[in-house]
Amino acid sequence: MGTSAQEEMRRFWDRNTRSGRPLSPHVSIYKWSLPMAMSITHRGTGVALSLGVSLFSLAALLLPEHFPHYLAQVRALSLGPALILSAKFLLALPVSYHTWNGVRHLV
Amino acid sequence: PPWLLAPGGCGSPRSRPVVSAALLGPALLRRPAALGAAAARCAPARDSYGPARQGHGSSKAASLHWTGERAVSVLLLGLLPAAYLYPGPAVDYSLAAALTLHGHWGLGQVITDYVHGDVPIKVANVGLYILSALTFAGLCHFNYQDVGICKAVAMLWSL
Repeated sequence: MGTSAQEEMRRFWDRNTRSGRPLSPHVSIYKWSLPMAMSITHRGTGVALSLGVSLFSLAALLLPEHFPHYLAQVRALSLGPALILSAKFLLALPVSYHTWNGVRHLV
Repeated sequence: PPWLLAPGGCGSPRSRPVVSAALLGPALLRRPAALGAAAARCAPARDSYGPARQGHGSSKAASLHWTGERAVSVLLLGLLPAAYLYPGPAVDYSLAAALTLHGHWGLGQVITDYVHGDVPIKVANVGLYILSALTFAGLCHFNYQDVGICKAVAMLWSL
């Protein structure tokens, strides 16, 4: 039977890390392509949205007041419409990108 | 055509349809459906849910996980217009579940890609489970005790 695949992988990585070889440049030198950029943006927006949802969820568990209370506080700040629109855009952008690019992955 | 007569479908998964396509040449244009059907039968390495072949593993876990990921993605996609058109507790809790699961599996893939070593992988996955559990609990709590996801988004956007 010889060695198992796991064992062989472990041996390879042990020897590799022990030899202390430098990693050859990859992302820093490879010419960026649109598919590459779109793919990592999809991942980036996904992680950001996921962490955002988790943050919202933890806030819902930890904060004392209910949602309308905090919304009223934001409304009381009387932020200009330009700022509010920008904020909405910044929220909607990752959702839209991730959704539409996700559809591209699904079809 | 030899591959249609072979018992149990194809032997080697991908070689025969390619060779046959080359031999068929212009005939391919006239009979795409037949070749497509044969290629579809030849493509999988084993029969759909039959026994594993010699030397191959028999776990379909990874494949089912992949299908599950796509299914949840489609579900979540459908929930977005549903949240707009039919806001309410049903969509709220469905969103909580689909959003959490989609995020859990997505972050799981990120961990698989970038975290190496037995112990870091285990630690990261445990952390992910805790995060996802808390996220789901928080969203359900929000749906129950507070205005709910659909209403919250509507209220936020009315700002």
